[in-house]
Amino acid sequence: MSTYQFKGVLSAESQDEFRQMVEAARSGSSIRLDFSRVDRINSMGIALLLKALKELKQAGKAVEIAGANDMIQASFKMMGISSWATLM
Amino acid sequence: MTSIIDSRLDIPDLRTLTIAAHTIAASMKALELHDFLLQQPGIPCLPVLDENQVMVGVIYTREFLKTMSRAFMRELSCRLTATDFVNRHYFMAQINDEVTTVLSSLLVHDPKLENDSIIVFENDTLTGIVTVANLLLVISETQYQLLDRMELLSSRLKEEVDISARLQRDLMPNKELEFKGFHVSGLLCTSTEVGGDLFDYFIIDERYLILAMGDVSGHGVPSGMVVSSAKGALRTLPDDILQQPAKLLKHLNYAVFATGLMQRLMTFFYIVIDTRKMVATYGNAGHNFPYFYRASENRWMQMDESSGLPLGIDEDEVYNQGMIDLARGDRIFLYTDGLIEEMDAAGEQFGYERVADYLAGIPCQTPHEMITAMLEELTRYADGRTFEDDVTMIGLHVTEHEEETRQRSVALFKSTDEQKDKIPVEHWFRDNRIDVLDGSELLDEPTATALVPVLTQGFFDTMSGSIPRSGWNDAPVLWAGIPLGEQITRIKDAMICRVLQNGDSIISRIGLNTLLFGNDNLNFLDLNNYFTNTVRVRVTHTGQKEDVINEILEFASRFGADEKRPYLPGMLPITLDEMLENAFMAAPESFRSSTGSVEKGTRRALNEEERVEVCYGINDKVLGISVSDPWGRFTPEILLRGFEHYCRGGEIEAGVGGGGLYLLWRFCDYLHVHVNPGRNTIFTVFYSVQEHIDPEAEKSFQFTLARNVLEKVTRNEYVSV
Repeated sequence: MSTYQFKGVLSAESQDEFRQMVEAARSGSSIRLDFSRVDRINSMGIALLLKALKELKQAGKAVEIAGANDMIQASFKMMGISSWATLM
Repeated sequence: MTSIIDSRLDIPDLRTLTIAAHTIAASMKALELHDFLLQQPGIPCLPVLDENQVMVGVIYTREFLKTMSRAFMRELSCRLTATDFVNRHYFMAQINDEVTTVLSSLLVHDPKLENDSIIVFENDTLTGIVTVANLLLVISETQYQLLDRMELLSSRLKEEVDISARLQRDLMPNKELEFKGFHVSGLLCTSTEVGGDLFDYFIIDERYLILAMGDVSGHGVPSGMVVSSAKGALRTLPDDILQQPAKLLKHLNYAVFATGLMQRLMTFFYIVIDTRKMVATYGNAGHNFPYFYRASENRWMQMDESSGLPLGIDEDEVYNQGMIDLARGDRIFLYTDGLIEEMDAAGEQFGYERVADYLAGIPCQTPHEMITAMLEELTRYADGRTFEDDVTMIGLHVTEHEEETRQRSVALFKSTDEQKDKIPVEHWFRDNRIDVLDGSELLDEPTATALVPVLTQGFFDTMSGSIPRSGWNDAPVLWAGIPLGEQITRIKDAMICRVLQNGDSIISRIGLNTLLFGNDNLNFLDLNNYFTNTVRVRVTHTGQKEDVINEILEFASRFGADEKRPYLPGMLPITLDEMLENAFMAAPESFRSSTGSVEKGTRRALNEEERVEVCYGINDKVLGISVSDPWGRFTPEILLRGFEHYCRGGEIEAGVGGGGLYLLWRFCDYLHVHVNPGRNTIFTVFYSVQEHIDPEAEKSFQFTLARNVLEKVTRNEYVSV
């Protein structure tokens, strides 16, 4: 499993990082997104993440998101992210 | 003939009673006035003069302080002046009017003696004020002298006695009281025309239920007037003293003592019930111990943890307090010694034992039945003779806890009219003359629990099709009893954009009045007028977002707002982020493409026209933050569509609006959007700083529209006419 680490604030400005993440996941069959250093993710960030998760799912990858703080986990549940990735 | 002239000479005029009046300018700031009155206790009222030194009215200290003590009043009133509080229906008299004449006219003008002083003029010149308490005292002394000389008991005096008796009756609560599951009933049986007993019960601060009972030694006119004076004092003390029995007794003791009527003492029992905490605190100035029934133990006991000298003996007497917890089924019984000391034909007193036995034998009844049954028992005991002394009783039953009452207000649709009357929030609406309609007509859902106070009747005429231009602002407020997610589609279809969740504690913290009517005409909810410490920041570059967030986090932390709200530092950045992003992207497409500011997520300087402003402030209850943009294009449709999509488990999609709004709503304690079409859109969020609010709970939200709308509002956009 490859791990991809995000940090800081994820927003519309994070478009490149999400793209890189999808690239990085090409090799393995599963990917772990390390959110332990993410302070916050806004709705645009969540939209970009979901887009990336859908691409990964289509490519048959299993994704888990680890270390997300309470607020991020709550927003993931509200925005339907939890059905596209395993929240650890 | 001579004797009548003599008796008339005994009645003084207002001259000796008049004290100099402080006057204030109509332009004086309300907060300045507030501080002045706090520093200068003992000023009952202030005549207010305009710039030409003409008197425009009076500010009654108690009335004013009471208004200012209401939630947020300090914050709301920072722009107000004395003019805004002036009472123009004050009572005035001429300095050479006799005290009795003044009292007669005063009773016509202000039968319940709600205002505690009289403005005195000599012809057209303001000469000072007379307190009602002093007026009553002088009359009582005058009448005492007159009574001593029975031969002078003219028809005029009889009239005075009638006035006194009427006055006293007027001062007694005359009906049963029901408040948040507390049920109170009182009864006064005077042995002469004017009694020496006093009882009262009333509510302060929409939370505390006060029960008071007093007994003046002796009876007849003079004791009756002491009762009136004490009662007057009770009504003129500020709420914070009324909430503390020991303090209240100290003030009342001082008042009774200072009036110089040392020949008359008064026993007094005073109970404050905190209906929220279900605790009764009481103080006793030499009064008979009331009885308390604890339902859980099925036994009566006496409330004997507090005792002290009767009022008016020792100026320095210090009173202590007792405390009991209350629960459903508990009862309290207060009485005066007339009940205990009443004798049968053989000269034996009714006594404590009979009272206790009789109380224990009474099955569960209403407080009214409890005290009338006790009176009947006493009447039987006295064999139908007139009572020797006044007999006064108060009964209280705890019928249900406030929480239970609140729960019940959820089932509104199918409830009968009788049940509806017991719902506190409906009382509030009724008291404030707001029409309440049955929401089932609107939402067509028998299990939906909604109460719709319609601010204008016109709403129902325009439910289909486009909304009239004042429509959104005059739209109904839905008092939602079930979660939004379960009725969002119906709410959206009915175009309801003001939803207050039943039982949401933020409502009382912000103030229901503010939420229904706003605190500012143009902006509805203007934080500048709401807090005294509002900070305003102009945002000129999208890259300032993190700085603004950190500034507000630091501000909240400085006021300790993060201590009681552990999730606040996590929730605040999310809501601020979404509000700011919204404002950055609020300009119309045409403007954005012409200025090259189309792309989301690119850092850029805001154009001069893109005036984004952040406002925030805090008080002891809430933290409020607003973000405004200068476009005024936001419609309720956008908000409701977003809520509907995500409430039904919809997924977020880039470029489709609403996701941010949904997060914003879920991560604040209250969301308000106010639009001034074509001028500005203001998003405001509130957070409670006092208590934990479930971050996952669905919050109340409202969309309001400026009243002076020139544009026609269709469902989706504002169109200029």
